[in-house]
Amino acid sequence: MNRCPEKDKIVLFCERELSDVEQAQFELHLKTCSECRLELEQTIADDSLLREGVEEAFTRHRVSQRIMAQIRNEKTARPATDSYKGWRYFWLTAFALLTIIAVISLYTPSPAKYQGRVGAIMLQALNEETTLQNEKLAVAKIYNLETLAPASLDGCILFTVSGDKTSVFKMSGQATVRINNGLPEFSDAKATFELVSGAIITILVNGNPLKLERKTMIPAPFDTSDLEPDQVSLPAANVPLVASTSEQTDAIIDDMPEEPCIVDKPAGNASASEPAAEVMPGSDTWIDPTQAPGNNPFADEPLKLDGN
Amino acid sequence: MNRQERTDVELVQAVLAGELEQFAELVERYEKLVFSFLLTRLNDLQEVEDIVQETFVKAFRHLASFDCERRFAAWLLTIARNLLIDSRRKAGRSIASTNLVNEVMLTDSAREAASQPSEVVVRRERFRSIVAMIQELPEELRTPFLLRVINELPYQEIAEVLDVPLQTVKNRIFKAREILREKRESL
Repeated sequence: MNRCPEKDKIVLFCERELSDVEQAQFELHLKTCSECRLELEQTIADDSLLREGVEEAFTRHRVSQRIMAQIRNEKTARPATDSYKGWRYFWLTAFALLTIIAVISLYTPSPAKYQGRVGAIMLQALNEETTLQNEKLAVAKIYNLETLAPASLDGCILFTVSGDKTSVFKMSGQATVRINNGLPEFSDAKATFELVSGAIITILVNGNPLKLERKTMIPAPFDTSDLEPDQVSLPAANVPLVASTSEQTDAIIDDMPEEPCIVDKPAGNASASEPAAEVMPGSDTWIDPTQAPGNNPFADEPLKLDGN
Repeated sequence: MNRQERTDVELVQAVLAGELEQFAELVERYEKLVFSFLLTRLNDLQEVEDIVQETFVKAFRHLASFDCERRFAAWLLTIARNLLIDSRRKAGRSIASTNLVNEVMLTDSAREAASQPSEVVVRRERFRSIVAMIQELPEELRTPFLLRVINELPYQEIAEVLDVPLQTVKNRIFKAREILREKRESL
């Protein structure tokens, strides 16, 4: 049986998408075409059955009462307007902090507790005013405490304690220092202590153990108002850490021993015993730092050092 | 302002301001929408109930994050769809089961009570067949079709709920009807 060509209009008719004229024409067609009429009736009946079936099921399975009961029983009995965001931000912040801590801990060796015995204690005066046994200590010189103990110190001194682990801490003030049962002992101390680097270490100060932790200033158990502030006056400490073009910096650079830039000579022209040639502008091995970007010496392209 | 005249956004804002009972109005408006959306996707009415409930409770809990520029119905369906996906992950893909259809049609409605047993059987079988055919429709055709037939929403509202162009909605509904007609003819 041939399919009625008007059958495609059934969907449009059901959806009321036919124009008024088309609708009137199709209604006329339905009166004469039983195939389309049956199809239309079936479509409408199916839609109706689907609607009724769902409606019946919905009527018997409504959960609105349960929903509202649960909502009312919610802890705060109100939507988590701020608390939701607050918790979200809390967890985000906590996650960010944990990440930062994890990253930092990966790259920063955490100070291990120093529990071993002292192998050696080296000390170094940090300024020219520091005295040992009332005599000025030479700055930048390292002394072995074992050969000096008990040492009466006054000033700013750096201690390097080595054993299983190494700890470096600074003392500012006055104290008599010696090694007591494997621990650095400071008696008659009027000083502050600060762990500069290395493992956490416990020292004895006026008979009491004092744990020094990284970058933590340990307050002295006495009045330190009369103590001079730390004045680090090592010669190297005066050198600016950041290069500048200031006159002072230039002067410092001028004072530094000049190290010539060494470039290996091509094979055959150089011998192991022959001193390396100093590279000067215009020489064969000179690389002009102002050359065009295309001649980037770090490019993959092999450098031509023959000057051509 | 009359409660019935309040828009979805106004109701949401009222709930956020502490008028908890206003949420019941939102449930009243959209429970059937969510129910019918889930009905042809699950084979267990108890599960449908649970996910409908979970959808609204989740919406309530996260109401502060609702974007008032969106349609509330669209947001609800998004939540329901996500919960449905979670449910399917646990239970596997559902199919139209006879149990579901019988359960849906198991009713003491006046229609079936007054019908002959043979008529009831035919009606249930027909309903099962329709549901099975709808379940085989692609997702993008099924949802607009159900919103149109069951919820009797106008095209424009369906377009807003699904966030697709008006003409796309029409095309999809026509396409769904064409597929269903072909399936019906092949029976």
